[in-house]
Order: sequence, then structure tokens, then C-alpha cells
Amino acid sequence: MSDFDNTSKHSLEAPLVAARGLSKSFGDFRALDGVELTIPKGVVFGLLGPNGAGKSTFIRCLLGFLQPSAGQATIAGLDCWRQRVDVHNEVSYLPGDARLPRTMRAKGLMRLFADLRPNGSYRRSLDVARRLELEAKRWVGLMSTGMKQKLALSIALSVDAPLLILDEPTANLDPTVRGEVLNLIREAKSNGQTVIFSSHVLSEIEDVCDSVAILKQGKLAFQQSLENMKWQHRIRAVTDEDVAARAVADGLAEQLSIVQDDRRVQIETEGDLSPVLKWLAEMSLRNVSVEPVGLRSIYDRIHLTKEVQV
Amino acid sequence: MSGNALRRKYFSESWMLWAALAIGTSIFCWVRVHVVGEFDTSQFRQIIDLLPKDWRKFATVDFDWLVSYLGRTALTLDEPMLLLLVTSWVMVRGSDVVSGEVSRGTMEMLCAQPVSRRRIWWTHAAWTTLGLVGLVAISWLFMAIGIWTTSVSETTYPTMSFGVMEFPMTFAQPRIETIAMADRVNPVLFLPGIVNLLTFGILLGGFSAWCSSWDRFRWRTLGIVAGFYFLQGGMKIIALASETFSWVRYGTVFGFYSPASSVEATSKSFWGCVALVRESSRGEILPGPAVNNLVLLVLGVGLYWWGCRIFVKRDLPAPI
Repeated sequence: MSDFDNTSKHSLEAPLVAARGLSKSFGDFRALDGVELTIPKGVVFGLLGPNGAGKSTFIRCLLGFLQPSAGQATIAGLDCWRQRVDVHNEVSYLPGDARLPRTMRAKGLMRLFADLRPNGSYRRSLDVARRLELEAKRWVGLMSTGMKQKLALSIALSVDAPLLILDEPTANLDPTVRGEVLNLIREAKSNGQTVIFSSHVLSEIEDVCDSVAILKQGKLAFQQSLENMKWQHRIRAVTDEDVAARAVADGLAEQLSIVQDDRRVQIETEGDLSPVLKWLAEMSLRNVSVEPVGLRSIYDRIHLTKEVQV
Repeated sequence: MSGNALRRKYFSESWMLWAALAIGTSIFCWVRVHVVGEFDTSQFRQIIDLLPKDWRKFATVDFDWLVSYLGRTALTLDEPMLLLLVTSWVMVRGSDVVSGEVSRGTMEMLCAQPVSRRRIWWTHAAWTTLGLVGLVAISWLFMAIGIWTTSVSETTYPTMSFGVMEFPMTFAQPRIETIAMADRVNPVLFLPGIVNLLTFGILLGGFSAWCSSWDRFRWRTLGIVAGFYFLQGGMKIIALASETFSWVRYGTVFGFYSPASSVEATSKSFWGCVALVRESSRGEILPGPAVNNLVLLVLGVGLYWWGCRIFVKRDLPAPI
């Protein structure tokens, strides 16, 4: 089974975001290592990875904050480093740790950021702020962390840009507002905007994303559409048979990922489940369980071990 | 539109600092001029005459001119307090442009907008310079107000006339006259000194912004700028105090900051304010007001330009 899925329904369209061999080094430390990634238009794209995996570095390269050490990143065909001002016309960005000037009121700041870009709108900022239950008259310096996050979201989500880059948009928010933020992301998608959604909350990624990529130690470790992921299942059972040898004999070894430890076996399969179940029915299995693989398992598989151990 | 928004941002960030410095500057200049008026120049001259001759070398201008009302008022522009007030503005604002925003984390959202780094840089520089122009204008205005509102007492003696010559009769009862300070001091003469203060501010602003362009911590930028300021100030004192080390004046930007000498040159001749060279009281040929201002201006603008290039090309690190 491949960790890279390039067969999504969007793949034939010109990608909005493309990274080709994108690398970034800080001295000897390689924060990004030859990342090859494309993001089509109109999708919500989840970006996952533990701290230090390279997510923020990847986003900062897309925004032209960092000059790539090698390779190239483009948004709408524009080079993210050389044409960054044009790129910023195409992008609205919410930083992971949004810090805002403390000497202004929220309203003033929303107006300021709306005026800084041709496609900004103060009215839309106020609308988003109202939906997020933000008190717009308050001084930024007197706001809590959550309120500042709401303000930054009001600014970022109000922009009518083709691409929204949201780095942990739901951090520091209460569950109600988190739900509203996810609704706003869905609305952005329905308006034709593309969203890059970086988060540590896997359930949120599963809720709103169409595709997901996982970075590990600066490398792209996994990329797949969540639609395809729903067709992946894990079967656990106890048996005395050598299931892997049987799969080789029956010509199924390439379709299945099998890990067997003594009598316990775990099989991961992709696509239609019925032929596999029919094949398994010919074996003497006990305590059989079938479940969707899910993002959590894939994330753990990539970051803990290469193969899931039973 | 984005230019207006940037100007609004920089105004909201800095107006309180500017207002505080403007109040400090205006009070200081007015009080300083008023204090000059409190001392009778003729008595002051007697006190100065008692000072050791070596002390004269610390003055960048002729000591005899220095004891006049004009000279003593012109020294306001050399006062460390005034320099500190005016340069605080350029050092604080200049150091903020990149390392300040980076260390506060506010650069992230600003640089994600479709505004070039060049525009961010030069709008900030223009705003800092505008604030500086305002502060030096206030310095001049309140010196002028001090001159217009201060009366001075002058001790005079009856004179004895011998044909074309007149001699004061110092044995006779002195006569104390009260006159308006404006009769003795023309505020317009301070403008060349004010221009020197302005160009010095531009240089320090450029240096602060240049340090900020490559740094990521504002506290470090401010430390470097303050260290530079005091080191350069110390070098000027050494250059004035020792003839052996007089060459050091060309290694310090303070060597080109000499507002009192600009005022002195202008008071002697209108075109003195654009003189390329001048002669010191020790007979040395020194840079004139025009060269001083030109050097400071070129260095300041050059540092702004260099800092801009660094900012445009540098990586912007994530906030810590």
C-alpha cells in the first residue's frame, strides 16, 4: 500500500500550490528536505506533523518569509520567494502564534489589515468577528490569548483570496468557537477558496479536509485524499496459519499490508473489502475485527513505526 | 491605500512616545534659554576668565563668543539632555522596524499582506524622519519662544570719551539695564544648528534601522545602538581633550555634530552656514557646517539603503 495518493479527482486540474524539491536548511539542520507536493484548487488540505516536522517552515516558504535552500514553491504559478508580493495577493495567512500590535483597538486593527490589501474588507472582518463572538471595541493589549486568536481569524478569514493558509486556527478557542471556525472553513471551500489547514487535532482534519499530508523530519511522509482513506480497513484476528505466506501464494501480497506476530495478525487493505473478506473466510480465523484505518493510525504508523505492530 | 494604512499603524505605535519627547524637548529648550537669561553675560565672562586655559579645548567654538548670550544659547543644541531626547526617538523607532516587529511576532501578519518589504521599510523610515523633523522644529520653536519671552540684565559702566575712543569707567557705580533677550539673540541664527541636529538624527536613525534589519531581538539592537552612541561620544571627548588624539574626531560621528559652531559661523557671516571648512580656536582646519551635514546625511541615508537591502533579502524567522 502506498503512502502517496495522486489519483484524487482534482489531480488533473492545474495545482494552486506546488512544491518541487523544496528544501530549507538552517546551518547544518535540514528543516525541509526535498518536499514534492501539489495542492489542487478548491480543496481543504490538512497539513500534519509533530513539532519540528517542518510544517511551519513549509508554510513560511510558501509565504516568501524564507528563501528555499533548494527547489521551488509556487502559488498560482508565482514563485513564492521572487514574486512574494503578488503571491500575497493570492493568500490570506493566519500564523500559528498570531501576535498583533497591542496599541490599537480590534476594530482599528481590522480596518488596518483590510486597507493593506485590495481584496480586504472591513465589513467582512466585522461579520466574522461577530460570528466568533469577539468584542471589536476592545484594545488588543487587553485581550486574552483566545480573543487575540479570534481577532486574527477575523482578519484572515475575511480576505477574499484564492488561498487561505491557517496554521492551527482553532488553538486557544473554546469548543463552540472551534465549531464555528470549522464552519467558516467549509464556507470558504464552498466559495471556491483553497485552504491549507495545519493542525495537531486529527479529528478536525478528518472533519473538514479533503486531503492530508504528513511531514516527518522535513520530508513528506504521506499524502492522501481522505475519501480514499475511508476505503482503507484494518482487519485484526487470531490464527494458527501463516497469513503472509498464504497471501503470497494466492497473489494478494501486493494489495495487502500484513503484520503477524505469533498467532495475532493485522491486515490493512485498500479498496473494496468483500474480496478480501471472501479470501479470509477460507482460513480459520478467530476474534476477527474490521475497522476503518483512520488518520490516527496512519499518523502513529508514520511517526512511531513504519509498520503497525499488533 | 496600503501606504495610508502603514502610516496609520506607525502613528498609532509611536504617537505617545513622540508626544512625551516633544513635551520634554519643549520644556528643556525653553528652560535652558531662560536659564541663560538669568546670568548676566558680563559677570559670566569674569567667571569664565578664571577657568584654567586647558578647559577651552573642550569647546568646539571660540570661548569669547561662547560667553555671549548667543553663544550660551547656542550651546543648548550641544546639551546631552537635548541630544538624548531627540536621539531617543530615532533610536527607539529605528530599532523597531525589523527586529522589533520580529521579536514581538507582529511581522508575521504584516509581511503576509501584499505590501513589499521595501514599502514597509521606507514608510517606517519616512515616518521616523518626519517625527525627527517635528522634534527638531519644536527644539527651535521653544528656543525662540524662550528668547522672545526672556529679559536679561546687563551691567554697564559709564564711559569716558576721548575723541573717537570710549573707555568704561569700571571704578564708577555700575548701571544695570534690563533688556529683551531678543535684542541680543536672533533665533533665526540657530537654524543651521538645528539642521545639524536633524542630520545627526538621520544618521542615528539610519544606524538603528540598519542594526534592526539584520537582528531578530530588539533588546540587542537597542544595546548595540546605545553602545555605539556612548562609544562615539567618548571618542569625541578624547579627540577634544588630547591634541595627540585629535584625529579620533574623524572616527566618530560626533565629530560632525557641531551645532554651536554652525551658529557661530552664521553669526559671523550669513554664508558661514554653508561653509565647507572652518578654523577652530586652536587654529585647526575643521569641517564646516556644510561638510558636517553632508557627511551625516550621506551616512544616514546610506545606512537606511543598506538596511533596506538586508531586510528585503533576509529570512524572517518565526517568533520565539
